Amino acid sequence: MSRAPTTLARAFSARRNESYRHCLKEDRKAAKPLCPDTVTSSFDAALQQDENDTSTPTESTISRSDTAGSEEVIDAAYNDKEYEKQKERTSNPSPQFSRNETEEKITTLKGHVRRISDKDGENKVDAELKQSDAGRIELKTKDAVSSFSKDDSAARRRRTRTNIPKRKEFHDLVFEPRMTALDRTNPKSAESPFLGFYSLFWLSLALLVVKTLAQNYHITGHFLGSQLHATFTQDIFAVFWVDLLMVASSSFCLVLHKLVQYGLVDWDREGWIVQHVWQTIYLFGAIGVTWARDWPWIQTVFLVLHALVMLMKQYSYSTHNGYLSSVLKHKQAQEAELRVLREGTGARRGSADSGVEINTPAQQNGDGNTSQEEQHEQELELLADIEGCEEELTGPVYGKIKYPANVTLPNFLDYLLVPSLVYEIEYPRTERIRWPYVLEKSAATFGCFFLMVMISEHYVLPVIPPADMPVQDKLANLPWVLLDIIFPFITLYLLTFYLIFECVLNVFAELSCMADRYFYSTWWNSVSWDEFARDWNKPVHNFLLRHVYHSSISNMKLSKKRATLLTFFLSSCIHELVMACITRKIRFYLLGFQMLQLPLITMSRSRWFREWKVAGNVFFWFGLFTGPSFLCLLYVLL
Amino acid sequence: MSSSQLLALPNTEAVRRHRAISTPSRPSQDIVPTLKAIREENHGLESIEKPIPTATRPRRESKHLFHRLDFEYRLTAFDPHNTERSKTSFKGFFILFWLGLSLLVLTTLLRNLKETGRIFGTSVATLFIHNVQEVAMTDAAMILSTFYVIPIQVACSKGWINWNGMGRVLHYSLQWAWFGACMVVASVRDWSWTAIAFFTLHSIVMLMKIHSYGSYNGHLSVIRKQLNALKKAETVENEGLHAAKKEILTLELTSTLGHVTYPANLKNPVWNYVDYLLVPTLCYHIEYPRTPHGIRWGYVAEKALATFGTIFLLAITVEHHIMPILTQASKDLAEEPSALTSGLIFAEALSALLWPYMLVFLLVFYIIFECILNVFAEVTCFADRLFYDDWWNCANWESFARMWNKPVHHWLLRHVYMPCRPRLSRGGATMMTFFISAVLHELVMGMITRKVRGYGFFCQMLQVPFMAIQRSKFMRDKELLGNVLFWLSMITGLSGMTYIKEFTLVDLSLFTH
Repeated sequence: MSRAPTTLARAFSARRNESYRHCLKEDRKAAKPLCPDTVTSSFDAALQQDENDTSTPTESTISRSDTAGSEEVIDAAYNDKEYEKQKERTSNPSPQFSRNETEEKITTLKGHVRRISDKDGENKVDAELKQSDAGRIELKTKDAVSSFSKDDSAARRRRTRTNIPKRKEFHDLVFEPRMTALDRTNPKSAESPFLGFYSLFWLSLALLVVKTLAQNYHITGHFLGSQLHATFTQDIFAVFWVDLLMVASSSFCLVLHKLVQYGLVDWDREGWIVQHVWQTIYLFGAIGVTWARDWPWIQTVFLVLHALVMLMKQYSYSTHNGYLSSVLKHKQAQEAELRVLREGTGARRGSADSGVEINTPAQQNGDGNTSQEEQHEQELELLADIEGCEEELTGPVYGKIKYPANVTLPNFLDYLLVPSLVYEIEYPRTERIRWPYVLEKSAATFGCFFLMVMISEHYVLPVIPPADMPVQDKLANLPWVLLDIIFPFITLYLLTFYLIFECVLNVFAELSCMADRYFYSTWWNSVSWDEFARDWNKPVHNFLLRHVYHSSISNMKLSKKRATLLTFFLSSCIHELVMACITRKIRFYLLGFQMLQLPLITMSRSRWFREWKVAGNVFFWFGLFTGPSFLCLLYVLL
Repeated sequence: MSSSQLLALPNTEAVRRHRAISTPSRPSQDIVPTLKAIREENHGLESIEKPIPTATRPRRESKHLFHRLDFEYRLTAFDPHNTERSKTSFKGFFILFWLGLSLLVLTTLLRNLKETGRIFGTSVATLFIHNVQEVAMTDAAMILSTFYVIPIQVACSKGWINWNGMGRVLHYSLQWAWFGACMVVASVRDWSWTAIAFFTLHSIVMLMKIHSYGSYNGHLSVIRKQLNALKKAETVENEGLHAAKKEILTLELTSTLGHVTYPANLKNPVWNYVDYLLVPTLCYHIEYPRTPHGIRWGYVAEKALATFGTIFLLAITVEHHIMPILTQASKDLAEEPSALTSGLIFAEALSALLWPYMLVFLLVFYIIFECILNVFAEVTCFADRLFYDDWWNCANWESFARMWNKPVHHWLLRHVYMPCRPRLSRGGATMMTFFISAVLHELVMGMITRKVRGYGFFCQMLQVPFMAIQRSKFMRDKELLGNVLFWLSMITGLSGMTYIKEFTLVDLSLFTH
């Protein structure tokens, strides 16, 4: 890593930055680098990627992009050759730098520019190559470094990366316009030859509702059961106000980062401690409220899950902004240093912000002395460093917002609405809100909810034995009850999934104009449990990947395997916490079952399972069929 | 979704070879007018064919006098060997379906064990086993008796009898007498309704087969005679026309693949006929595309296993999820309640039967079209496995009728619709086809219930106005709505219709063996 002599005497923060940078880097590896044509192209990626996902199930990070590969190749090539050349030039001065080589250089640069403009399609970089009389080659762009127009952001990124080989490599986990696989309006899914069975599934469920209603009317004289309805409405206003308070109080992070921005709080020193203390209070406050008010399980599960979501959001927001504040500081320090350096050399050029220049100083002064050369190299490095920081501080999609400008209330509120648990300065957006779509998905939400209530009320609750039954009877009954509830339970499971990931998240995405709807992958084709864990809940998966997995690797210096284990364990603990809140019992059944997945995952990696994928899928579905219902019974009965 | 997209061509090499063979055998465009003339001459009627607007797909002008099917190298959609299918990203749900079904059967069996002390119920097994030997013997005799068609065709090809005179009369009179005899046997014997259904359906299949065999071979014998007459003709008025006619007639005698010419298929008539009986198609052609890889016995075993497994699932479903409801309903109805109460009993039983019937329908479909037909196809190396199209996506009844049972659809197209075509308009020919199909369905239902009620016939003819609605402007571009409505009518119609039938069954106390 080529680094200018740093004045940052904060070893700790440097390490933290380093680790966070590492996380981002890993995340970015996992995602496609963004160029404008991927922004404009819609929906295509989702299914394609699904296939890629399933084809490489054993990799812990999903390597899914061909373009990433190709681009890296280009960059690598460019880096190796050009950077070496440049270094060569800067280190040994001009004499042997012939005319031929200059021309070669021009052609390569031209090629590079063409490549950029080709890739960008209509967003052409207004660049020109000149060979000045002095033999200096300049690549001038119209836009200065400090101006961030959407058009050239990608090109600029690439250009800067060519100058600075390693440090600027990191790309973030990139959000891009995608659609969910089960969305009716997804053209890729509409192509599936088995679409008709999707209609059959929903129609059967609808008919089931009709039948159940009629039967209920026949028996009780009412269409709807009243048991669950009473549970829902209990204390519902209190839930609403608590929830509102919870959401509102999450703006604590915003305040904290405003303070960081004004320099009143240093994120790396005390800011992050304050944040963690706040989060602990937040989580246990929410749980405490549910226990204190003695809410029924539906209210509890809603509030606890929402609290966890808000917690993850806040954590991501704070960590990301904190990191950016460090970068900003670093950048300011570097700029100061540059100023000092330039004043020392008598200000050969104008301010650093005025433009990018690739200089071949070799021929500038025929008798260039060593100290000047060294100074020049230093300056170049500083410039590169600053530019890298600039890039880091800028929104990754459109490049319109730069770091301190994003710490605003509207941005924060928008982030709360956006269905993502990972904070970014910018997300890809759709052009407008399609209200019919919102309406459709809302209707689907309520319909789904109604279905779930109906199924639980008529097919699950009547079967579960009363709590006052002796334990021995309960145990004797367990297998039969299990047989009774596996079908309603798998239906409930599928409906819950559909409700959250297809309906609710899509409504929020549409309302906040979020274009990236990759909320789940094709988990139904999973052949192993780790694949399922990665695929079925992408927002949480992304969060865990960035903020737990990668940060544990770099912060705690864990091996990949251990980081996976840690992530898994943390996720299991959170699950157990939710179960404990729901059932008011601490039993660790779920934790045990989740830990049981580890040997199963090892098993699924065995040769037999790898070769016979269908068996893996059957095994997976069998687990999904029996696991949740069995767990539920355990918690309820014992 | 076109079938070619859905059903992959597994062996491109074989396909290419097949195409290479089949293409040159197609006649050149310039003989089409002559073809038309001969066709008119043969039918003795003016062709009333109008140019058809080719907005959706260009209709290919048939180059043959007798309608031919284009057999290709294809696989069924649910076949795990189908590479296109395994690319769909929803295949996990297919697994879910089978796993769910297996678990359903498992839980049913366990509950049965808990309640009765036995794992299996017996009523369905009794149905299957009852008189099974007699049924098998009768079935074998039925198949053997169809061999009467061979001597007639051999005689026609040798010129001993004329198809247009003696041959046709002999073939068809024997055919209908044979079919009548089969029906009489099925209805007088003391068989369970499953046996009757099997025997009736098998008889209808054989009827279609021998009809196709007789009419096609007879047609070819006539064509051969015409060709021979042309060749012998000494004075020729129009040289060009004469040559064109000769070309067309020769072409007619040759198979699409181009390896076999008419009388050659009757060189070893018995072997050819046995092969035709085994091949999973109802349309006789003198040559079919065959798989290049021979019989894969692993595949046969897999499909055979699937057949028995699915039949087992089916039997359990019927035993535990259909019969109890029916018995209960008939018990309730036996108390002769008021009209309103009996209506309620009907409605309740109906709503309880919706899912089991749908499931039974899907399973029966799977058994017949995915398992059994594939076994026969593999054993005979038959390469064209388009036994069904993606009917589950269809938005109207018309396409469903076309898609879900390709062999019968092809037969109706070739032996009912096309022969009707010169005499009737398109709509008329469609109606005629529909009518014949409805009559056959009603025949099966009538044989099973031993009563002629006409409910099924009525319901099927009811589809005609439905089709008109589905074709209307409002419905035409609403595919999703159409699909949902299709499934809705499928589920309710199926159970509703069968339900009526089952009540007649209950009257016959066929379930209380």
